[in-house]
Amino acid sequence: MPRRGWRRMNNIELLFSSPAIAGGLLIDGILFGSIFALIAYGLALVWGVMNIINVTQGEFVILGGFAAVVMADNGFHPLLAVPVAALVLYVLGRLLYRTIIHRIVDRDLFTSLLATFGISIVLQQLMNIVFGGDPRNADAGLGVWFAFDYSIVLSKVKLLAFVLAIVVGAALVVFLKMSRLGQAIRATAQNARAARVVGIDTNRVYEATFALNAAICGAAGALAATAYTIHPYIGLPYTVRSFMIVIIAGLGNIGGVLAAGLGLGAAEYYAGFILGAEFQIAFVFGLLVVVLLARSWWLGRKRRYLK
Amino acid sequence: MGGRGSGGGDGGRVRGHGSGGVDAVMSVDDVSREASRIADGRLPVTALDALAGDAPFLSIDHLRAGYGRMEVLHDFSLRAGKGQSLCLIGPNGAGKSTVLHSIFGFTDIFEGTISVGGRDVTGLSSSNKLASAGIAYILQDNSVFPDMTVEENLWMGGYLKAKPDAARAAAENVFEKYPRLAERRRQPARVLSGGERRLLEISRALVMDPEVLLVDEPSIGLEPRYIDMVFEILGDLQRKDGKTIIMVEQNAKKGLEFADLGYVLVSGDLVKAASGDDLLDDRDVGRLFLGG
Ligand SMILES: Nc1ncnc2c1ncn2[C@@H]1O[C@H](COP(=O)(O)OP(=O)(O)OP(=O)(O)O)[C@@H](O)[C@H]1O
Ligand SMILES: [Mg+2]
Repeated sequence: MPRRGWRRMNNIELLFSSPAIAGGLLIDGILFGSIFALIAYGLALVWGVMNIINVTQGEFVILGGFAAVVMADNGFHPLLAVPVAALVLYVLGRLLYRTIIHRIVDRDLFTSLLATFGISIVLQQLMNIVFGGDPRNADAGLGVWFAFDYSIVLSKVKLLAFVLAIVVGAALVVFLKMSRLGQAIRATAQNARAARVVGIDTNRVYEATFALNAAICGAAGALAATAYTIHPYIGLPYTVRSFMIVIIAGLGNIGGVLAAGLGLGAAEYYAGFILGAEFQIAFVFGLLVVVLLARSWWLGRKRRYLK
Repeated sequence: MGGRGSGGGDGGRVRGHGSGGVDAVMSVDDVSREASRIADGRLPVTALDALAGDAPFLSIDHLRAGYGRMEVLHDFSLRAGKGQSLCLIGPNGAGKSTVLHSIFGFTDIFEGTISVGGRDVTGLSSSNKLASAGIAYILQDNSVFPDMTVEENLWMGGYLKAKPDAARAAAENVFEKYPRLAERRRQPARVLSGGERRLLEISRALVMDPEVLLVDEPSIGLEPRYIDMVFEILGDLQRKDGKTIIMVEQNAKKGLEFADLGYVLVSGDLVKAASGDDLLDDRDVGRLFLGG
């Protein structure tokens, strides 16, 4: 494959010689990464409060995306779909909690992984039946901005998605800090038994947390579908990305989640440009392996310290 | 069934380091076996009534309770007068914490009743126990919210108040009582010393101004100087504020010295009940729980 290798060399050279291309990729990557950060934040919430690694994140995202697609098809502005998708997924989250998830809170990680993995497969198939398997996109028709003498092209809808992602994230932080339910959620995450002792109904907190995360994913999906294509089976990369971000940033570190999300988005865009877009997802999975290895090495080192 | 908590019964002889077994130390099983022999026959409820001055405020009647389908307490009764303190002692896994759990609504109750001030509270949820029946629980293990400040921890103690302002006002009253805690109000609870942490746990339970305090192992894991402080605080709450205190204490000597009444619980059965002082002098109790 000498020609392909040659192309990659050329791409790397291009990055170094053209700041406009490098800058454009960086911006695009960061914009996409803001959506990852949102999803990761939801995952960290469920993980931290309920000790469940929710493998269904990606399917929640894609479902939110389809909400935007359906609304765009029916003549609504797709960004109107952001609150609608959040609401639909909120309801779905509560339903799932009452039927399945409440049985696996307090169980070991293996049980919850298996259960949420099962749910994600069912959701994939349902989406395939209802919406079909073709890649879709909710065109917002917003066009682009040009900056720096046309050397950088900014898609307005991506920019808007970025702003909304930040707004939703900030609203969440305020909600957790200020509202009663938010306080109950934080208390439960820090010490569930103590939360029960001060009169918090932790079962309700779990339900609200799971539904809130689903709503966040739905909103993120609606944003994603306006700027990127989706199909029923593209959820897993979103799950993997959010998992990776939480591993890197840790639970309960909002700034870290945002930074890791934006960084991952940028890294993906550079990798996609250098390796070819068809390798972008492969890069995500490869990076996951690297992150997990680094983490186990890091933990192993700490363990040795303790002994 | 989620078997949490410290299960007894993994018995055998306790061994020290090196080669020799520590024969002087009785294992949990030995204590349980011995203890079940010291029962004073059947303890009639009238005897418990008499101990509580024939004016019981908190009553448990013929309680059978446990977790899921597992029954831990069998036909357990208890009486405590208003402003009295009662200490439960017994070997690990005897069901002492389960008594407190049951009063607070954390167990499955199969039979029997629990009442406070004449009101039947058996079926109330924990939040109703706290909000309307005036019962507060101070947990056995570390139970502060580590990443909240001292102040926020106290506010959480008033979570069930209708308005956050009311919770804050109640928290201020508690701060006035314990200036030592007030000094640290803006620090995260995780940096507190063991004694301060226990003080915070007690204070948090006071925010709802309960009449009955359930206290699980107040001295566990504390340095000696803090142990005395904690018992002093509890004593004040009983004598000055008229709180009724039901306590579990691993350190049986401290617990019985503190409490008006002492109950000995073995394998879910009440085997002895007397005034704290009488139990301290009891030969069997001394041998089994006071270390000779
Ligand atoms: N949450 C729970 N779920 C299931 N079983 C429990 C739970 N808590 C306690 N148990 C079981 O109930 C029995 C009595 O436990 P309990 O905690 O009441 O004993 P204890 O007298 O307080 O002992 P310790 O001195 O070790 O605290 C034990 O067999 C224990 O394993
Ligand atoms: Mg106990």
